[in-house]
Amino acid sequence: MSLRLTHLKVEQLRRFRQPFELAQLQPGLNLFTAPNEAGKSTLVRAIRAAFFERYRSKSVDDLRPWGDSGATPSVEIGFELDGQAGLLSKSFLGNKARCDLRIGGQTWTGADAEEYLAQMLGFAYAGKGASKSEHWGIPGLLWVEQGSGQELKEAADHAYGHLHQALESHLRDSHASALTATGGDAVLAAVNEQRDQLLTSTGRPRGPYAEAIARVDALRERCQELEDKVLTYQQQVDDLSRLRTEQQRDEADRPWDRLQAQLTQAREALQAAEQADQQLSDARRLLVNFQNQKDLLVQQRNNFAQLERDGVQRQNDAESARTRLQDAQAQLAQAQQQAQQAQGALTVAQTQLRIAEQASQRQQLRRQHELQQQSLDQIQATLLQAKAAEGRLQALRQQVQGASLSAADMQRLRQLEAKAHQADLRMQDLATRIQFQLMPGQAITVCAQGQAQTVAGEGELLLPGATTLTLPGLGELTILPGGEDLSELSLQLHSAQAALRSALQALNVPDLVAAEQRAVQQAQHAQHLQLAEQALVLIAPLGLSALEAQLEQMQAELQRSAQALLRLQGVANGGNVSSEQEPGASTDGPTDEPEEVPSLALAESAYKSAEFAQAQASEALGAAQSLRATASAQAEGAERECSIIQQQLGSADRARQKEDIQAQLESVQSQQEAQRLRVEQLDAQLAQVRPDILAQDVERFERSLAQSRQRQHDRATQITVLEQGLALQGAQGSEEALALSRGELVRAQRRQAELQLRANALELLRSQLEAKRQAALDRLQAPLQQHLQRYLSLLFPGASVAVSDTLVPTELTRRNPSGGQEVGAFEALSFGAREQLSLVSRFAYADLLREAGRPTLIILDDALVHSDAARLALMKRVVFDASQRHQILLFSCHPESWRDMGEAPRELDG
Amino acid sequence: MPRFIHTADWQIGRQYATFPEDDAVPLAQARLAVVERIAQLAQDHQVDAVLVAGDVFDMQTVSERVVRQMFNAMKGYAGPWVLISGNHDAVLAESVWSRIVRLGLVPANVQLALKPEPVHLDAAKLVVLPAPLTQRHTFDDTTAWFNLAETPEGWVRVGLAHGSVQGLLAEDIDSPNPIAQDRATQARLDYLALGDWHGCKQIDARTWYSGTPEPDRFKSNEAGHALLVQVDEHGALPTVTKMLTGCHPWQSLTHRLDVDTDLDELIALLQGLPAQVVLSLTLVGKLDLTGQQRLQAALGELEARARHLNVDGSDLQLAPTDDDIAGLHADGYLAELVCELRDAQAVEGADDAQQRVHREALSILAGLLAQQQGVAA
Repeated sequence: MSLRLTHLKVEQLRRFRQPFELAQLQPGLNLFTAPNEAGKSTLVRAIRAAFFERYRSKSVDDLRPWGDSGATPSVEIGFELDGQAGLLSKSFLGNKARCDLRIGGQTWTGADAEEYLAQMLGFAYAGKGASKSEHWGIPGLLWVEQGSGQELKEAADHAYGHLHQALESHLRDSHASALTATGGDAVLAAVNEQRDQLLTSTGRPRGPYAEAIARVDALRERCQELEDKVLTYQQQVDDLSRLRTEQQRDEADRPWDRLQAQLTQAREALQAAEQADQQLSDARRLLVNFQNQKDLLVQQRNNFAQLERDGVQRQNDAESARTRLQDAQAQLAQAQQQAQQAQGALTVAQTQLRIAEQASQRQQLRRQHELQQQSLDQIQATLLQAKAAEGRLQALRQQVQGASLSAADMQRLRQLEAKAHQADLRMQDLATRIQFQLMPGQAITVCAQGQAQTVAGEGELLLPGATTLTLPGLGELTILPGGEDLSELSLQLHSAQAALRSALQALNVPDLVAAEQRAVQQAQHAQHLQLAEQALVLIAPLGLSALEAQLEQMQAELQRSAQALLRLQGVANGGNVSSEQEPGASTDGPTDEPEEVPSLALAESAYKSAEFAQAQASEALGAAQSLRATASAQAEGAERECSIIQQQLGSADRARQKEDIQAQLESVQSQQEAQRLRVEQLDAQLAQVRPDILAQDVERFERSLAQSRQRQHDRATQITVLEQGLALQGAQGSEEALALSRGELVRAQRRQAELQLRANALELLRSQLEAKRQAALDRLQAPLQQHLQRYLSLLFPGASVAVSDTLVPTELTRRNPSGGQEVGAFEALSFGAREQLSLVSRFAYADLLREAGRPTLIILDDALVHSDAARLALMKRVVFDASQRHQILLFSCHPESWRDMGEAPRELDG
Repeated sequence: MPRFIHTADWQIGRQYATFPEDDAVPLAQARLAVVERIAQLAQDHQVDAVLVAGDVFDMQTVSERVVRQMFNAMKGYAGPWVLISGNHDAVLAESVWSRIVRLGLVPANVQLALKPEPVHLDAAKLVVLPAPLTQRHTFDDTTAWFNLAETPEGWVRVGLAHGSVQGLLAEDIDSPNPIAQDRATQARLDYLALGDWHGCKQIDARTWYSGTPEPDRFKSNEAGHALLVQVDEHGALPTVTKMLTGCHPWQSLTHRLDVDTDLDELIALLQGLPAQVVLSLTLVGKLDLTGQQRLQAALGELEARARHLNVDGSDLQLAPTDDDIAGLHADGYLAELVCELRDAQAVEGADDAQQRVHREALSILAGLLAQQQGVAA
């Protein structure tokens, strides 16, 4: 069914008080542009009112022009339905309200017309009051009001039934068989509801199912309890039966009587046995007495014998002591002899050792003496050298004496000389000079200051003062030099010369040169002296006197050693040394060595051996002496003891006593034997009777009797208790209760099994239904997806959109700049993008509806005002594409935005 | 010409707790009611005695109230009742018998033969040789003493025992308690009245099991009778008459449903069942939805008449036909699921439990669809 509007006429409607018509509406895109307040929205409202509002509605006051309460707003819409011309005329409010519909030759009026329209376009009317969005159905989805372009969900929800139907018809058309199900959701909801009564969301039992399980558990437990109880009861019945049987048997048998008899018998036997035991004890005591007597007698008899044995023993002891004494004496004699010999050997060895020691000493002394002699010779030689050096030194010292010029003297001399020399030089500079050149052979005398000299030849004279020149042959010339300083200078010169002369005289040198010479000489002497001193020190470092002292000391030592040597010599020669024998001369060394002198080492060793042998012999001697003393004492003791015992043995009572004892012993022995036989007899008797076992018998029988009586008593009590308990329990009816509980358990188990089966079945149904529903949904949405994709590819190339159960876009998946996938929830998109995506969805719905034969008029009031230029350009392609299949009325207050739609925008100027 | 009623296995105090209470209580009551009927019969037939061959009580601890009710039920016959114990109510050290004696509940005309001693019923010149059980399980023949029992010359000798005749009843016996097959002959008995076997059964000319007078299980055959026995004189063969006493016939049926006529047969069979029946019905095979509705209707009708009805349909496949499915107006994936479930529950050799789940799921789904259909319509 295709529907397109052909014209629209309004009158007395809001700002259009006069009739206004939009004629010649085109099948595709129709663009209307107008500034704000120019009536654009009024026209949209008029179309909506014409369809959605009942002509009788009182809630459309807003349609009236402002302030005109008597107006009758009317709308006339011309259209073409499947090629047939149609006209809808609708007037609202007041008496003239009416609705007329004409399609082809058919006409409808009033509510009929409205119902026909609603069915045709897919919307509904409000039961009361103004029409609201929930009534708008398909037009609500395709007619976009100003500013609501981005809102889609609500409109889509209200149109869901139509969309779903369209999708289903699509499936039918495309032979995809009936994949969806009528009432599938209702069945699923019912299954879910029933399942949720039995199972939790995680599949655990709940509600009646959980109760049934709990009941089974509780009943099972109760059954177990009752079974135990019944079992106990039966057990007790059996116990009672057994006890009664036993009790009856015992009452009949009277086992305690038998036990009493046994006890009496046992007690008697025990008494007899105890008597026999007493007798045995007495007999044993007697036997012990006899034994003691016998032991005593035997002891006495033994004492006698012992004394005799002791006598013999003592004699033997004395004898052997004597023998030991003799032996000891012999040993002592031998030891004495050996000790004497050892002493002699020791004396010899001592002598030999002394000789050897003296010889060794002498040798040593002689060597020392020789060394001392050598030292003496050396010292003497040194002393000679030293004396010579001393002599030289003395000579040098004498030389040095008297020519002593110190360095200070030399210095003063040199200064004085220099001073005199300077004064002379100045004098010559200042003095009057006479240069003369005399004829050969001629001389003149010059006399100045009382001194005269003769000059000849050629030269120069200095005149320090008044000088008289005697010119032979010519007379005298006195020259008086001018200048006042000259005399002063002359005085200085004289003074300096006088000082020099005085110094020279003091130092006993003719002049400075001599002095200088003497100084050098003096230095040389000093040097020589030093050398000589050093030489002396080398020879005699400690000085000459020390050397001499050393010499004296050495001579004394030499003398002493010579004396010692001589003394030794005497000893060696004479054997017995005499102190008077002195050596003849100190220088004579000892001469003749005694022949065959043993070496000191050998002598020492021999001495040590002899000393050791002597010590041993001495020790042996001591031992032998002590031995002899001991033996002697022992021998005396033994003799004494022996004589005492012999005295005792010789006593007269002795023999009689011995006989007495023997007689007593024999008597006791026979008595003891008799007693022993009696004991044996009694013992044998008792061994047969076993009183211990008899005592046990008595105890056993006593206990058994007590037990037997106790048992009888206890059993009687037990029987009473059991009887009472059982009577009580019998009245409780445990078996009945058990039978009931078991039955209940069976029923409960049955119920549990039923509920389990039901729960499993519901769970199975739920999962199957959900899976199938989802699969169906996926297939159902396929055509919608196809249409969506058509537009989406224009807007967002490569993007895809997911659609909810209610066919509303939920997620947009598109390529991000980096080439990856980007998923965004619809709600999270920007305002503009949401509007664009909503519009795209609406176009897709329109396509879907058109395919299902539903009319698809699209009205866009000021759409896409939030789109940027680039996006708007893309959307224009989308709109244009949609206008190829649907009539679109697009109202805009931005004419400049829509000039490139291939359709001239029409200006509204109502 | 002594005449007496032989009955046994009253099982007073028996619970039917596996049944719903609505059914269990009347069934328990029925065991008392049947005693009333026996008393009535005894009175009607003017018998010399009523002999009860053991298992009078179902358990030892039966409640006092029930015992009193039982003795009340026996009041209709004032003549002598001779009761012996069976394996359920054996004379133990403490037993139901000692309790009722202690409580003084036993009427004067009721004789508890709890010891193996002859009971002389002088008026009828009838001597009863009882073999009460004194243990839960006896492995000796308690009737052996009958052989040597001295009885007055010319008196009719009747044995009264509880147990299983050796070599005959191999199964369905409560306990060993053996009884020699030819005891009647051996002991020169005119009649041997036996209890323990719940069905009515003749062993030989002189030996009978009367069976329980009111059936209590599905397996017993010929249960629900008492025997009227007449012995003209000592040595004569007894005349035994079966008298119906039971009120609730117990039946256990297994019915196979494969084709439509199978269901027709079953429905006819159910319609033919007596009122007050206790029925255990096991159904196997398969059934379509229409058939299921018919079956439900028939079972509903029976349930109203019967005392108890237990149907086990767990192995009955639900096999909706295409028409069924169309009738449910199931389309799309719902129809698909119906078919899948139908097929899954019918797969041969598949897991039994899983198949039952599929069957149940199918049943629920069909129910929901039918319900929707109802709502839609």
